Amino acid sequence: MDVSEFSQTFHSIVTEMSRVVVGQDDVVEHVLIAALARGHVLIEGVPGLGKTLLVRALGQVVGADFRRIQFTPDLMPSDVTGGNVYDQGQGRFVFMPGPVFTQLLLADEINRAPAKTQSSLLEAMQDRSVTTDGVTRPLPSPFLVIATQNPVESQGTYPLPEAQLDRFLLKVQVSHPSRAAEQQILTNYLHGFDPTDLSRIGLEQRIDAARLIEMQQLIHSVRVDPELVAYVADIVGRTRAHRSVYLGASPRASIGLLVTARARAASQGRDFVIPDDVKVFAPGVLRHRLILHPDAELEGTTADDCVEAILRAAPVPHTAA
Amino acid sequence: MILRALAVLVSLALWVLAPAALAQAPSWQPAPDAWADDDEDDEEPFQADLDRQRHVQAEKAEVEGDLALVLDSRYRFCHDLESRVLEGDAALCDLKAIAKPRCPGFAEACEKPFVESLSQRRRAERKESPKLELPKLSAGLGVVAKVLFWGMLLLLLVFLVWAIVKGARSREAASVSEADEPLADDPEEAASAARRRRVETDVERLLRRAHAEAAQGRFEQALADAYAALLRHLEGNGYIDMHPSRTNGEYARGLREHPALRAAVEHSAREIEAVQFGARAPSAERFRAVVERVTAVVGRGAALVLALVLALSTTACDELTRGPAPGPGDEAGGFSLLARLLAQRGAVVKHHEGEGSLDLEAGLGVVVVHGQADLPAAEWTRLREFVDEGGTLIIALDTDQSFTSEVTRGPSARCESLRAAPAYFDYQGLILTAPGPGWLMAPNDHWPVLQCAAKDGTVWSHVVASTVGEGSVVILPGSGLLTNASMVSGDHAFVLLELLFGQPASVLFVDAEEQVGEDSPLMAVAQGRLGPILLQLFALMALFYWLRGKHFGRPRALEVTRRRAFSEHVEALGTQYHKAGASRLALGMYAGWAIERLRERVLPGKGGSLSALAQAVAARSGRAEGDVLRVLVEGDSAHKALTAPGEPVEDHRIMRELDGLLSEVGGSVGR
Repeated sequence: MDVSEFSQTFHSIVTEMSRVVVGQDDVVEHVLIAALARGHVLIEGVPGLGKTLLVRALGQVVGADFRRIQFTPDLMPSDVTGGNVYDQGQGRFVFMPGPVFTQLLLADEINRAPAKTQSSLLEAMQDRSVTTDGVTRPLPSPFLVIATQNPVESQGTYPLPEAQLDRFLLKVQVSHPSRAAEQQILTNYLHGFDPTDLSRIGLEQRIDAARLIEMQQLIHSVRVDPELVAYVADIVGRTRAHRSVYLGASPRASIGLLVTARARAASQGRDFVIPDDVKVFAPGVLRHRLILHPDAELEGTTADDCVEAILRAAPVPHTAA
Repeated sequence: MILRALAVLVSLALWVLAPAALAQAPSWQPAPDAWADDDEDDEEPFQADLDRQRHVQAEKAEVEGDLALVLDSRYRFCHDLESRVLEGDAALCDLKAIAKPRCPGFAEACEKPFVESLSQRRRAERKESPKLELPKLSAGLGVVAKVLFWGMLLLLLVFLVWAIVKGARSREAASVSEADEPLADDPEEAASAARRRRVETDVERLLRRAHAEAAQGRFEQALADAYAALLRHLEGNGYIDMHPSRTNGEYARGLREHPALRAAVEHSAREIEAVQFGARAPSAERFRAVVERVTAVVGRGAALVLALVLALSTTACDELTRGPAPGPGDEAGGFSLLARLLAQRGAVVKHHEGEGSLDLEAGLGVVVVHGQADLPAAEWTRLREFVDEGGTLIIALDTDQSFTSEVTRGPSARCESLRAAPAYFDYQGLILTAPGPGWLMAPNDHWPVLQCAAKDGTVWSHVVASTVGEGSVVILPGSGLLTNASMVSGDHAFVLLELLFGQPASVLFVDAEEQVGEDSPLMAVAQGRLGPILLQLFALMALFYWLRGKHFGRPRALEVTRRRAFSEHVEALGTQYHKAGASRLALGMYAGWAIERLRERVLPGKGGSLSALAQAVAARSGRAEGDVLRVLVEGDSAHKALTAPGEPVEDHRIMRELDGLLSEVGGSVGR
């Protein structure tokens, strides 16, 4: 596979998913880029914007096993990872895998579960394995966690810990669709579209898991110019010096920015990264990794504001201006 | 279409077979006596006849109104008393009597000698028309006022000449000063200079620099400069806002409403980014591809501005160019009036001239073929199919017979001695029949003409029509009936419009190629009233050429000549010193100046030794006195030995330390 074929496959997946997820092309592209970059995605948006539909459609189009966990306040870690259960027939404990043992995991409303349960995903997301009772079990490959959270409701929710947030490659914000997109959604509904039965509309599988892994590996061959490495380091470094930011982005963020930029370059049929690839994904990679000063938060400054200011201050390599 | 053909035939029958003739009337009116004879013979009810007369009168009034609208000043033969008639249109002068009420100029022209061509006619008119007397501007002024007037005019001219000469000289001076700044040969030095260099924003200079770098084989820098020229041009026109933090993708996305510009930016950026970030080799081909795109975009803006200027300049000659220029079709023998009348009545009028197949599209109702039109056999076949399918074909024959003074409505009493007529006539594959017994379909130079002969031997030509397939064919005895002179004569316009074009329809005129041209290109330009516009264009080009030199026609931004900043002079001087290896001289001069400034700041009006100066500087800056004194002594030594051989690195260090002292005791003066 070369970058040209990569690009064609990428766009065919996006096109197929756009049949179901109407008016959210950017979100679809971001999620797919994250999947290709072997990263996890945190999707933030109010209910009813098609977040779950997006993940289900992705699972069907890329041919990955899909499972969903509805996070609730009484959800236990073993409900996620699974645990050892005594088998009376065999007379011993046997491991019952949890829903995390899948290729595509939807952690719906992840902030409704307490931190202990949320943290049960830490190892899975970072090491792609689960350890229970001293035994480490690898997760299927590819493995992708797509978590959703509602930014509006605060009662009965538990903010995700920083360590957990840092493990998400991208935080994607889903906004309301445009008027035209909404009209299309309504038209689809009138024509019998059922979001719980995607097979009815003939959503086609474009690739399989093996092909997805092949695409993930091709990203490593995308060239990154040293000046772009410096550009990424400059951007991430500026998050640590910004006056409104209490804690800047980690080196994991730098790596994440670089890998998403490579994935985007490949998706556009290029075998080299350009500054635009970095800049486009910088908000998604950085926004959930910045901890703002309380004063700045009181002033209404958001992480997106800071990232925007940082990008505005960081000169791109070989600028003509 | 069948109904339409039937309507034409019924109308023809009505007009042609009516027994009364109006040959003697200067303008056709329903003659009461003639109609009365009809009534007696046919015993038609009087009321029906009265209704018909009223209808005819109403229709005539409508046609009269249309004529008044379209008979504007473009028909000079009609209104201009100095007009002349072409020899080819001499036969139309038979109509002068009945044309005179509407066109007095035509009647007058027919009394004068005819002319062979339009050019000859203009020459004749020019001789006859009195010369325009330009008002003398200074006629009403006194002596002092005249002197002032001419003096001011002279001053204005001198000022214009002075401004142009000054502009040319300053341009030459600017080009010389630019040429004095050679490009550095050493790559490191060039890179260092590039970092120090201010950001170039002038599109033309960027393009020039790009070409210069490409000529030296530095294609990567050449590509960057060419692309920068494109972005600067777009920024100058308000399409984008350049900023060091913006990416090429952002510039392209900002041009989403201008697809052509966006494509140019995307293409250029793709080429350049492949070099800058994709490790592709910068090549001449890549540079050429980018420069072509850039030049196309930059040139488009210049072309638009030039077009706007030219368009505005033409308004200066508004009086000379207002309205369409009259052409051969507007002469007495032209055919434009009928077309305009039809358009006035709601018909869609089209013309076919020269070669090429006829546009017999669906919805076309009538085709008028002039006798001089040289149509190939295939086109006649298509016309035949057009008629078969219900269209109406009108053929205006090109006969040599003299034009009759009026259109007659049918055989008059004088047409009693008719010869035997054939039952049909084969014309271009169309079988035509005479409209009734007693009519003659006489071939005349291969053309069928319907004629009747009077007892005195006079031959009258008439309209003949026949149904063919589902349509109809109408033959006119000559194209003279359709001419402008004919249309303004009597009731010809009314008769033609009623008979031939009763219903508004799409009409195609297949015209003969007009062979009436000008004697020379200059006269054609004059006739087309292009003279003022071309003169302005030439004047504008000359002015641009004079002001902008050889680059006129190439896209470029306005080059503003400005004074150079002091720091640029210092930089240039420093470069020259560096090349000459005169670092000690530079240090000595700078040290002398710096020590004087230090004395002014820390020991104002006191003078004193270097140690006192060092003590004061150390007290002000917080530095160790010994270090300050060392720097001052080194600088002072260099100042006292300007011609001594220097060590660039060491000299530069001392200069920087002196500069540091200056900035610490009272602000830097910059380097």
